[in-house]
Amino acid sequence: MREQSVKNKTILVVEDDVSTLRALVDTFTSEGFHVLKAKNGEEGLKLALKEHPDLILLDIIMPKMDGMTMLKKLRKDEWGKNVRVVILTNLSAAEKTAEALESRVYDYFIKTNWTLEKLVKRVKERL
Amino acid sequence: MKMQITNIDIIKMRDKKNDKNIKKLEEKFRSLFKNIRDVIVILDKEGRIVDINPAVKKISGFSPKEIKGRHFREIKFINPENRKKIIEYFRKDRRGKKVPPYYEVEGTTKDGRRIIVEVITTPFISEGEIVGSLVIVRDVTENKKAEEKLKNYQKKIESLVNSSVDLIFLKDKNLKYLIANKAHEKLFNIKVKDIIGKTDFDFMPKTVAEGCRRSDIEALKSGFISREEWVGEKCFHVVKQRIEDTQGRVRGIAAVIRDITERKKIEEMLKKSKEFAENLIASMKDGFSIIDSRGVHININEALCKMTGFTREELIGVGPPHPYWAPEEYENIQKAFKKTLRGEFEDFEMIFMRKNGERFPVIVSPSWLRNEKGEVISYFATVKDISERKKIERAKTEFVSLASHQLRTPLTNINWYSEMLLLGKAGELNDQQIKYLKEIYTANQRLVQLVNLLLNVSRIELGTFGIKPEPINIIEIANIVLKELLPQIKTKKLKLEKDYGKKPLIVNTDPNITHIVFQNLLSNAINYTPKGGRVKVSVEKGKSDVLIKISDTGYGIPNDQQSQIFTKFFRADNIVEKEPDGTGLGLYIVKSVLEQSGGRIWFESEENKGTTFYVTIPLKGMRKKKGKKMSI
Repeated sequence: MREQSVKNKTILVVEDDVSTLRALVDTFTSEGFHVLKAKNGEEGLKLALKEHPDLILLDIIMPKMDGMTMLKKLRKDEWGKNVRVVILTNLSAAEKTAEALESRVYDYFIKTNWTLEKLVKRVKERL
Repeated sequence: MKMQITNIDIIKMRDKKNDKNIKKLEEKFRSLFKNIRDVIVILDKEGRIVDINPAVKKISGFSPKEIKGRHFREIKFINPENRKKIIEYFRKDRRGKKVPPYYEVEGTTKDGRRIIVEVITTPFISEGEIVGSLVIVRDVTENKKAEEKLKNYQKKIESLVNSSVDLIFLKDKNLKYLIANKAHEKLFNIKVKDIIGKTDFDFMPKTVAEGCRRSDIEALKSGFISREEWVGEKCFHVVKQRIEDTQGRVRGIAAVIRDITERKKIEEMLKKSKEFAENLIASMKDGFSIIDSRGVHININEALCKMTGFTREELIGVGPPHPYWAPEEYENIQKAFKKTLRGEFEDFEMIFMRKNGERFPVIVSPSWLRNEKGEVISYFATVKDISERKKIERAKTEFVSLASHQLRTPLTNINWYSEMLLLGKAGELNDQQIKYLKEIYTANQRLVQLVNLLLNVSRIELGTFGIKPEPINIIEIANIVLKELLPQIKTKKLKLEKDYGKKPLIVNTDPNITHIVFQNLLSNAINYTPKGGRVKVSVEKGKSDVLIKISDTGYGIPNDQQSQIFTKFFRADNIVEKEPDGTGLGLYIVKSVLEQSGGRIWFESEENKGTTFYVTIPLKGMRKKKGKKMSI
């Protein structure tokens, strides 16, 4: 049943580290998601507004436009203000969490502390 | 004596029968005889008392009536042996032999009081013939007493002067000694009697005598000198006073001279050591202050003025609070201050404020000054400006923070790719491949943990560690952590005892901190307890705190290392061999976050018996703290 529900779902992964990006894309693709990818906030924002994915996995520290800036811009958009966003970063500073919560983020994950398996499970629950 | 002459005159005048004048004189004499304070006794040739005046009653207590008509031998108020002596003199006198003009004899009054009287006797001549004697008796008891007193007093003064180690002398105006005390004998190796009448030149080396003479002459001229004079190796305090008689004529000088060589030496020494200490304090780069027991500045050095921007005048006599205490630090400073006043001299870090309001970090090292009785008389403190050190420390910590964040990206990739391989995402692996991959994965997990710990340390030290209390169930957190650690508990076959019920215990705490506390203390208990041991967790609600107890039957902490176990990177000797993987950061983090949030931690431990850690979290909740913002 779940496999069925995932099939039509699109997720956007915004991540500047190529290796990390590939791991995420491969994993979520193999799980049956339609996966879009972006290497920075600028690309990510453009793609999100164009493709309207069901969920965005967003890194914070990225060149050109960081994740927080992208999120704030996204929230100003009529569609973007309600889209599900999961922050996936290696930054654990507390104030970033607070900032993220203000922008109605569903989850805030530290990459090194999560296995892909658990991450997939959590994303599926969110959809 | 005049009285006696008057009597003789009267007799002579009567002879001349100048009746009128005689009558007048007789009246005068009668009145004198009656009122005079001396006793006048008129004796006949045989020594019988013809007349005696009323003064006798006052002096002796006997009335004239009791005495008149008796022989002089029977005068009771003069002691018998003295009476004999007086009668002897009468006889001698009458025979024209020389007798003393007056003599003192002892007597006793009617009521038994001892008296001393002065007696004058003179033959009583009538018409050219000796017809008797006239005796005048004067009470000199009081004078005698006074005289004796004076003599005693003089003796005392003399012994006082002689017992003095100071040189005391009197010289006449020609600078010859009139009086010199015994102190001279020791100093000049000469007898006092050999000094009297001499000058300094007679027994002192010439140069010394010349010096003395100069100051003597100066004293004679100016009237008074008081000063220190060096004579060779010795130093004297010299006081000389000119002596004048009642007419204002200069008679000589009096002097008191004290050998103050030793005192001078000590004074010099003290002066030097005081100068040394003052120079030392003044040249110190660190601030220095001396305060009294109330905390008021007694003295401060230039460095403290420079550091704080206040002048000496603005700081001395002031405080507490001192002008350079930042108001937001009052509470901390007061605490440290009270500790110091209690005699606990620990260094403390605090924030000081310059006059212009600028804040800067310092380390204050308090200490104390005791007097010879061992009582604390004042406190002093050195103040070190640690702005630079702090900057360097911060740069180091920031580097650790930055490096740790950077490390997380490759760690994530190693994690995830090994996971994907293990999950067969790239095809089936054989058992050996899976085994090796698991080694990579486990090692990487340890690196991840280490990075997490380092990040926690740097966040604590940079102040970016925020505390956000929210109502959470402490029991639930304990259970979550225990569940995470269950595999290790099972591997080591440890007996786990949970001494708390299922009932939630909701307290306003930071879930992250509570997790860190349980995670570290429980994994320590598990790691440092040998196989088959016991680990016990209890959570109880006290009056004002939640008390968490985590005990084990493990290796324990060696006695001599117990004071260090909360120190960053410290690991006890006995566990380094057994569990080489620890970082020495866990307890440091636990203690830091607990203390920042209002909790406490302590422990009891015995080597090879086990350890119990106690943690309290205030029931009113953890203290909220906003983490400072950081660029990364």
